[in-house]
Amino acid sequence: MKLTLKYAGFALLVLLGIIIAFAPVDKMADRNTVSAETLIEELHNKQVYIQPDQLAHWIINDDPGYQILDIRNTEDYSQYHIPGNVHLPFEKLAKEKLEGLLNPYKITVLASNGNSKAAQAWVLLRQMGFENVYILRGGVNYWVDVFNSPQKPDATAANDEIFRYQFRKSAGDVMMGKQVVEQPQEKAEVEAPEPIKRIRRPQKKSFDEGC
Amino acid sequence: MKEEKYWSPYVSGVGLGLTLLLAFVLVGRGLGASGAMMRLDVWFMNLIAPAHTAANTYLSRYAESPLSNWLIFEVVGVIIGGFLSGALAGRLKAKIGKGQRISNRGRLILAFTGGAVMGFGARLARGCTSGLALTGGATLAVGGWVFMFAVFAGAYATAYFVRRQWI
Amino acid sequence: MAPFYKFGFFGEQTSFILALLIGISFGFWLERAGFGNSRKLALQFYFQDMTVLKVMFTAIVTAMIGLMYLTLFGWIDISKVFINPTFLYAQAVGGIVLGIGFAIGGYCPGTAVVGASTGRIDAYLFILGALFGMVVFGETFPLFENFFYAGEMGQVRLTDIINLSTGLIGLLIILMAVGMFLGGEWLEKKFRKEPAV
Repeated sequence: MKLTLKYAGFALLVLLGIIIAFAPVDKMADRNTVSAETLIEELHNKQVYIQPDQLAHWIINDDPGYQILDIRNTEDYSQYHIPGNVHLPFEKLAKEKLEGLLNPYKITVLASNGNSKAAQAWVLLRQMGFENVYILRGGVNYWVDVFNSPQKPDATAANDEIFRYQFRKSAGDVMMGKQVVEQPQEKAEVEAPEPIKRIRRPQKKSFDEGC
Repeated sequence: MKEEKYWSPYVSGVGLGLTLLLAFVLVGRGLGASGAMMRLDVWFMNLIAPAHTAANTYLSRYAESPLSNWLIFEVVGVIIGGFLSGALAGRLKAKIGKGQRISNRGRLILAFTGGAVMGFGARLARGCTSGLALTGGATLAVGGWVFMFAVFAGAYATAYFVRRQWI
Repeated sequence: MAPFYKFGFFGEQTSFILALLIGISFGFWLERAGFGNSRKLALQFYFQDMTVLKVMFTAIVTAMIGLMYLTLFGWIDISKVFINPTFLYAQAVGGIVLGIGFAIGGYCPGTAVVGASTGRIDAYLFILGALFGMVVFGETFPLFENFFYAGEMGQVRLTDIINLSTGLIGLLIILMAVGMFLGGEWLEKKFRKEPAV
């Protein structure tokens, strides 16, 4: 009795194997890429923008969890770019090109001029499987404004505003470096800065999950 | 209480497999054991020489509080589960597993030696039988399968030299 | 859709409670199989007791089939399930070293914990040894650092290096497992002397 139960188990295993061998498992696995609608919705909810100050903090702290992708054209890029980033013009964005350049498990910050290209690039990256993609608010132009000539707050301003000013001023030296900074010709629409939003960090190191 | 017989390996295997599947479904990761031991190590070393662990590029990865780690909770569960099963089957007894041709002392020395070799190997391979072979095997990870066959190869190659311990 | 944690169904605290429960089940089944007993484990390597092979492959095949069917029904997003990254040479050599330790020590880390919880004295010594071996590795890490990353391939699956569909690879693994079960039983009949206690 026991013996036959065992062989029935073996037979069941093989049967399940034969079914799975001819079932479209791979097709179902690929289906899990994020749908365009949910992406657009996310974009509209403005969950995807990152303030220059937050990014500057990461750069200064040498945070290993982020990477910057500059998608402006080569000309703009050679004039000025944020320290420590990867450059790939928007027109050349393709999965093959990004492999090796970027780590899909890190936070990716898109640096651009103007928000529409950045938004398109954001959707593209998300569909390629990058989970944590953010757009630098106001693009590189706003970044230069913020750190090249930070606006001095009034004497009556709240404490955190003064702190932010001081941070921007001191960070400016690092961000601008020795590079010659030319005032950008075209200005991106700059939105009023919002308070810095905390972004949930992804798992720090994947090997922690294993044994 | 008389010791019960062990259950069929196939029944236990299905039980283990479903546990592993449950871990995948609930939290999206597999099982493990040696990682928790490493955590414990580093936690202990941190108590003695925190500057030393921080300076070591390998140890410092594990330098968080041990309770923050998922694996620690899981291994505490393994202790409880093993104890429960052992108690239910009347197998709770202080004894030493060995063959008849080796002294208790010899077996304990070899147990420590084997543990040390295994601890080293587990860290080099980034996992042990549960974390890499089982988990990686079920998710079809290439490393998991390579590791599993390497384990069997290493063990069968060594078995002859330590046969007095077991048979 | 599963994995529930990755989709934010519950937080980290809950995941720790689940870790405890999953661990209890893990420990229970390991003990049921007889994996708290070092001699039973070690007799695998003398073809006298093939329990290790049977349990391991049954568990792998069960979880693997489960994952494949859940993917097929669209209930789990397999891309969110952790896959062990492959470091081919480091893992091959690490596996051989671990196997040597297995034959000498008679346990692996998970089974040693179960052995210890049921009172096996050799399991306590084994765990102390393992803790010691890991410290040694940590301390000598700079010497092995390059080798530790040798053969890095990322999070690759068998389907990435063998040009077959996931389901077909699943079938091949099942056939291999069943073959090993039958072979194992045959070996046991041939070599077994007395059951391990």
